[in-house]
Amino acid sequence: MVKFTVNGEAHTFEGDEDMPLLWYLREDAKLTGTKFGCGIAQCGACTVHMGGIAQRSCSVPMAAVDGEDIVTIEGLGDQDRLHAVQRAWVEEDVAQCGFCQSGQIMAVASFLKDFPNPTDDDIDENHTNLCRCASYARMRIAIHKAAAYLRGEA
Amino acid sequence: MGNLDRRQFLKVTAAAGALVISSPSFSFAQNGSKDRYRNLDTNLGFYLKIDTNNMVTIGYSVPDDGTGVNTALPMLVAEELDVDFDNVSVEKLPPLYKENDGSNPRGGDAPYINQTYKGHPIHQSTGGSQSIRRSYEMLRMAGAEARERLKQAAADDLGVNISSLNTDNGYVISGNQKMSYGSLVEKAAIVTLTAEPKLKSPDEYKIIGTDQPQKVAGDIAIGAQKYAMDMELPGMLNAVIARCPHADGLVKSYDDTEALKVPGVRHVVRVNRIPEDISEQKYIADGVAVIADSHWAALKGREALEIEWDKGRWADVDNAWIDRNFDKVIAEGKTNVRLEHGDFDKAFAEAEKTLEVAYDQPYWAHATMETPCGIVDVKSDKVTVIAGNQTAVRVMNDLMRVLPGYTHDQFDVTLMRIGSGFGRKFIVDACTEAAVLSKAVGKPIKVIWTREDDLEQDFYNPKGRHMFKGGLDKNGKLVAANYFHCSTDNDFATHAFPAHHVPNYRGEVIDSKVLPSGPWRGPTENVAGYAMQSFVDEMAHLAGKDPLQFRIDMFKDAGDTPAPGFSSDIMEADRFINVLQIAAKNLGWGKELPKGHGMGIASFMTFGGYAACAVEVKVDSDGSLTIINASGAADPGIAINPQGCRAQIESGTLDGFSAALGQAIELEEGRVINNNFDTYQMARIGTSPHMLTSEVVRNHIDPKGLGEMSLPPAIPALCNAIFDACGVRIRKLPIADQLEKAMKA
Repeated sequence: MVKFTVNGEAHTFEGDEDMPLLWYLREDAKLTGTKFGCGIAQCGACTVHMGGIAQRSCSVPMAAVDGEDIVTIEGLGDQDRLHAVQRAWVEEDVAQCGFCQSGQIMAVASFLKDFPNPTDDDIDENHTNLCRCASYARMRIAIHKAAAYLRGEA
Repeated sequence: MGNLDRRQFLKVTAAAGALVISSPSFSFAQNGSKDRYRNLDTNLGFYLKIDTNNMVTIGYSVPDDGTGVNTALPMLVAEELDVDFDNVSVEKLPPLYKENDGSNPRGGDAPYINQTYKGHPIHQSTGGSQSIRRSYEMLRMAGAEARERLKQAAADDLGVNISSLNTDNGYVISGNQKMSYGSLVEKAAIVTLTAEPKLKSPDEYKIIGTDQPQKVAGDIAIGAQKYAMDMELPGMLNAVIARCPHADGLVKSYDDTEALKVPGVRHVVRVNRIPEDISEQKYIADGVAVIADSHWAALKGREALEIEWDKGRWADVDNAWIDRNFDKVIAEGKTNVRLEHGDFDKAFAEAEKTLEVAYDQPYWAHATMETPCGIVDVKSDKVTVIAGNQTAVRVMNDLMRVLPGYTHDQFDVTLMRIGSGFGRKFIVDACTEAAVLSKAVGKPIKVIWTREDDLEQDFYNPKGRHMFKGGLDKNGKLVAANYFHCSTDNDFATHAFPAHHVPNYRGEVIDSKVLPSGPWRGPTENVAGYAMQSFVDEMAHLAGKDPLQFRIDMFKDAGDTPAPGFSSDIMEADRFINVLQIAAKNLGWGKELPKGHGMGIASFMTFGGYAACAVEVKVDSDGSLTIINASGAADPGIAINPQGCRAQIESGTLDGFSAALGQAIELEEGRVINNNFDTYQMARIGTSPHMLTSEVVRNHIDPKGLGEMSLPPAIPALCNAIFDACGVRIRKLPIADQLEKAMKA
């Protein structure tokens, strides 16, 4: 049996421990904000936080989730309390189709903890989520804006 | 950018680790409410719901795959209706279709066609950059009719003539009296209008032409926006299908013993190729479906299947085979001349300087972010469908092929927001598979394609070789050009620049089909742009002229030229010159560049819209490439939502770069072998320029579209910049490691 928390709530799982966390979140927990994009940790659409660090949940088997605290996009913020990254994303109108954006936001929220004042090169080298709509231009602006918000500026 | 600074009621507090903001102004879905995706409960025409507290909801009929129609189409209604767009909510309308009564000439013999409003078919298809063009007049009429009805209701109440009334932001005004739309809406629905509602002229617009953020942005940012892949029906089972990976191959035999032992697996069902005739392009692949309680169990069940494939007629095919086949077909010379004027052969023979050059480009996959998926529940008297497809009526029409005997009133179709389309989601294959399986096992079925399925079973953008002969006269003017396109599909950019801008021209095409193909972003233009604008660039360099001025001179000399297509009639020279100059200016064309830097420019018309791209790159001595800066300019006619227009310019530009840099389908034995993102290379933020300017021309010309426009010029602009930087001409896509190899040589 695997015991863990998701967005602060206790969960248990007794099924196939090979199953990636992604499918538990989407089908068992009904948290569909985390998306499937590739299944091999190449695109990042499935990004969640485990112990505060971004992980690609398509490649985290349930066996590895025991004792972990998971945060999904639904737990990062909501309409009454947006996370700074979510706020910047909405203000800069980043999303086009939107399917990759939960993963983008989760990855950036984690990235900004390590790089609170990122350069464009830091972003290039560390943010590897795929956006098929190529919304990268506004995304770059939003990352800098979110970083400024988190530093208490603007 | 952004509306937050306009809000007075925003509270900002700092909290540990994150800035916490109350933001009630963004439009968020009712949490968990499925009704949001179902019928909009209109109370005033197809599109509108106005509550007694004056809250306005406007429905949009076109599925949104990221182009922004969820916001731009309601803007058209809101403009004429005269409401405060900040307070408008938007909702996706259900499909509005009727039995084919012959009233739509484009309907052909399909069972169902779009409903109409005052004789206009209600546009319900995203693709071809058509949404605004086909909705511009009709939606304004709908908004104007609603406005006049509200005024008539007020006039009746007040006992005055309607001509004495005005409207302002959701209120009918009569002298000092103000009546809210919400208080009038019930009566407005039943009044009789005695005059045809008048439409505003563009200089009266208050909403159209203003920057509006996406209404769905809030939902997307909190993970509340649903797509087809996120939906469920009660009692639903999950299906994953093993499809023959060899193009046009078949299942020879299979053993499902082990698959049926996997916990959660309920059924294994044979899926037959559609159409049966192997000589026709595949719609549904031949394969074996595993149906299980969960997607994961279905995946594991599929892994446990043992299948022997008949590799089919393309069992020897790889890209080298296709190239050799091109050689063969080209040598046979049986081309289809699509355009000819002057005397190319004579002019070429007499030219002062000539160039013969060929450009090769590979198959591209759509690789939509949301893989193909769909949910269908076939019951004896009802079919429930949840689809993420681009064209409303095609969902019904295509499903009818596998569900004969059902009538349109038995279909309950929900069209979801689409996790990218790019032309892939025109095809209703995932829902067709779900329908076949649901019929077979009597349960609701959700089919999800894996990424491997998606890249292996695509309807690819065609592979092609583009051959040019060009001749300059003694003044360096391009006087003779021949464009011969050998393609895996029957596409040709007949009227694209410079076809009508060269006095002696022959454009010809030959096709030699292999893999299934279908529309991709800017079909035909996306590769013709690369080829034709690289050719023009090479001729400019051969003439010793500035590539920008060379193009401008050709446009000036030729003036307006014919461009018949389903979105255009003519190609206006001034509009092309304008976007070229804007793109050039915003990049700083002509400024002195550091060593290793270069600039390139290109332009292209797609579906009646004009676009240009100018790019600055840096190529290091080891061949590593950096895209420093890019500027995209587009003229689609009147810009409804300039902020949304700029998004499409940005997107088209970066998408073009992504395709050019690394995308190419690789084949072995007629099967795609680079079937996930580790081997099919798509751009991340890291290869995109740090600087990108997008500018949409502001005018009042009737709109075309913008979704596809900016990609065709982006690819050649990048390649032209590379040539300017290091003298290496990209004659084959993808760029990949060509520069590294060239620098070593």
